[in-house]
Amino acid sequence: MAADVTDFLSMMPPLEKGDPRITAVPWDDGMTKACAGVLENPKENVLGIIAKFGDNDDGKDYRARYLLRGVVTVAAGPDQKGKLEPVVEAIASQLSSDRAKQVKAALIRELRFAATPSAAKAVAPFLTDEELCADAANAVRSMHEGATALLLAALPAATGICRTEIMHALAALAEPAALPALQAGLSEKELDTRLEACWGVGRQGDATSADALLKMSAAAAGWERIQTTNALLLLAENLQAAGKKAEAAKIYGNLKETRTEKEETYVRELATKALGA
Amino acid sequence: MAKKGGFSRRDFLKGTAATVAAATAVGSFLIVPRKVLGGPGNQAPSDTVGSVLVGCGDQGPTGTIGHVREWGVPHELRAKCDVKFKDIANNKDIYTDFRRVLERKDIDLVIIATPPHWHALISIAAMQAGKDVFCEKPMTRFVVEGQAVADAEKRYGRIFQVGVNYRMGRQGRGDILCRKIMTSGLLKNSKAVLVHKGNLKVKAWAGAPAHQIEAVPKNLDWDMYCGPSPMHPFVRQRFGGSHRQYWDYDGGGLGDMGFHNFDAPAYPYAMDTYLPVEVEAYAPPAHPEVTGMWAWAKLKYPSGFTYVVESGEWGPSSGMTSTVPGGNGDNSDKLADFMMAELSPEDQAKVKAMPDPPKLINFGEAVKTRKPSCGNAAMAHKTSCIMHYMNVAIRTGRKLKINPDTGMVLGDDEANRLVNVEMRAPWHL
Repeated sequence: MAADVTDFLSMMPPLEKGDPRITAVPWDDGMTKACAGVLENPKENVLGIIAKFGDNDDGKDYRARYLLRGVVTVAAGPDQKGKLEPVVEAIASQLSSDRAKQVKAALIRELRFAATPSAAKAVAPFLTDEELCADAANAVRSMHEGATALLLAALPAATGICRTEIMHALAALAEPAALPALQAGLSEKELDTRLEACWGVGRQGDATSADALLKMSAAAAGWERIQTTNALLLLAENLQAAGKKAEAAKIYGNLKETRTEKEETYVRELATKALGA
Repeated sequence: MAKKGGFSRRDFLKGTAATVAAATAVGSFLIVPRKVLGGPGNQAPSDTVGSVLVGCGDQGPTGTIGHVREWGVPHELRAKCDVKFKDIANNKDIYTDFRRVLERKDIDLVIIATPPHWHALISIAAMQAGKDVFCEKPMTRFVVEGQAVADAEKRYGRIFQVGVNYRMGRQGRGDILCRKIMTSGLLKNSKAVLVHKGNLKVKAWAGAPAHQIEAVPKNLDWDMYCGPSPMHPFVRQRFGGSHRQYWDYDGGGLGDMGFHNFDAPAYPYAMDTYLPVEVEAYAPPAHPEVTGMWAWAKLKYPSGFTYVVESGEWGPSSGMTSTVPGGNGDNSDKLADFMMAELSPEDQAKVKAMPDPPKLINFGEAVKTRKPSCGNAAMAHKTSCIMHYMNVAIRTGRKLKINPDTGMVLGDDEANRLVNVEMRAPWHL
């Protein structure tokens, strides 16, 4: 049940007269008092704040959005144990409501800052929503622990940009459990998805990725060649760092031999340098 | 008078006596146009690099491309790229997608004057493609971007220059000595405080939260403009110079003007070499979308040195004053004397025995010699962190302790989500 938060909203800094910016002087600590008040009854108050969100992201509801960010920032602070979960619960409950996509996008972005396991679970269904998948993937990713499992679970049903976003998040998290999906991703039909997978296998630093990545890079031109070369260099660096010098040398040797065009001299040179190091 | 054509500057300079003799064998003499030889007022063709300007708003065409030449790199602008060229792009000399330009073999230098949320990505992509980079300030939008640019600079051996070089004016004897002290690792509990005040356009670039949503202009690729940042409906203020007012694209006046103000002191105080270990700020809570006002921030460095930045536009003063005489560059000998006095005699001797740091070189010399430029990514990244950590402290309202090796905030996950901001696919560092 949403509470009436009119009093809390009135504590938000006003816009200056004739100047639509939040530059109020002096600052009377209203936000601090408002956040503390909201957190005394977090679930109902947060629902009340969200009820004041406009549907179309034009900022006219700035007090409500400002207050919600303040509440999340306070509740997510390191010394605020127990305060965050009811806030997350309230925000997450609105994702299954019939609120506009713009509102859900804003709520998912708040959950990105909260980044609790329950926030990630609430956001995961939107990994396959074309309009919300970018925010959803970033929110899930920000949770770190448990994120890879949620992303892998969503991948089979994801298409288009959703698939690219999930591959991107898996690549960024760089967890071993994602390696098979990333290696399979080297054969994706969509270039952007393939390139996220390339980046991902480069970051993972697993020697079993080398042959497929070398093959992909050999057949590539233009931007794809630039990106797969970078992925190979990342992979080689990570292999070197893990003490797998022979595996790294195989990659550098290949780059030295195959980057024969004048404009790829720099790749040949850095591969030669790496082999000599 | 016979004139021999077809000799390039390279040929002439490589020419042996026999070559010259052959050319003049029949009693003619060799006339070589001045422009082939280069020299003052004459740009030799072999020195000129092919360039692209990415970001063709106010700054790029009127300022940035000129700065590149002033700083020693003659270049021929062979392409322009901007997301607002959707209706005129021909992928020959006018582009909307920088990836297409990077595929060109005749581009050696990428000049970046886009809003800051694109700076790191395009810088890295350009270096991956084997190009050198000149990138407008601020170099980056958040902390982790800067390290990624520095990693690419090292990995690819490219020359990167940020579009500010005020540090070239802090090369006095005392500045050099101060830098040696700061980088020696010997100074642990410095009492030195330097206060900077003003010139940060805080109110000018404070944002308004409410705006009219409009249809996306036909000439604008809005998805590409938003790029790594969240997609929002089009409002005019998110585009053009007022992008500075949005966290999605910049860091307010601090993000915009910080580098101008911090570059010079970053050199003697080695704020371009070390990250702060502690930051706190005094500011009202930050709005989720638009930047706002703030009063001051204090950054403490591993040496104990404290840098205080006051907006001078809002709220109370920090209550701190500079303790370093000549600290703002007005007397570098006094600065050095002050800093030396903080060391024991044994440590002073060690500092004096240290070699001087490598002389800073401008962009042109860096491109020729392939040595790091004065505004290289490794240094510019750490300097940019002054602004970035300040903004993290402003946006969280908390005092932050920072791991100086990783750059991550200790014990504050939410703050770290501002230190390392996730990007929309297909954009990654």
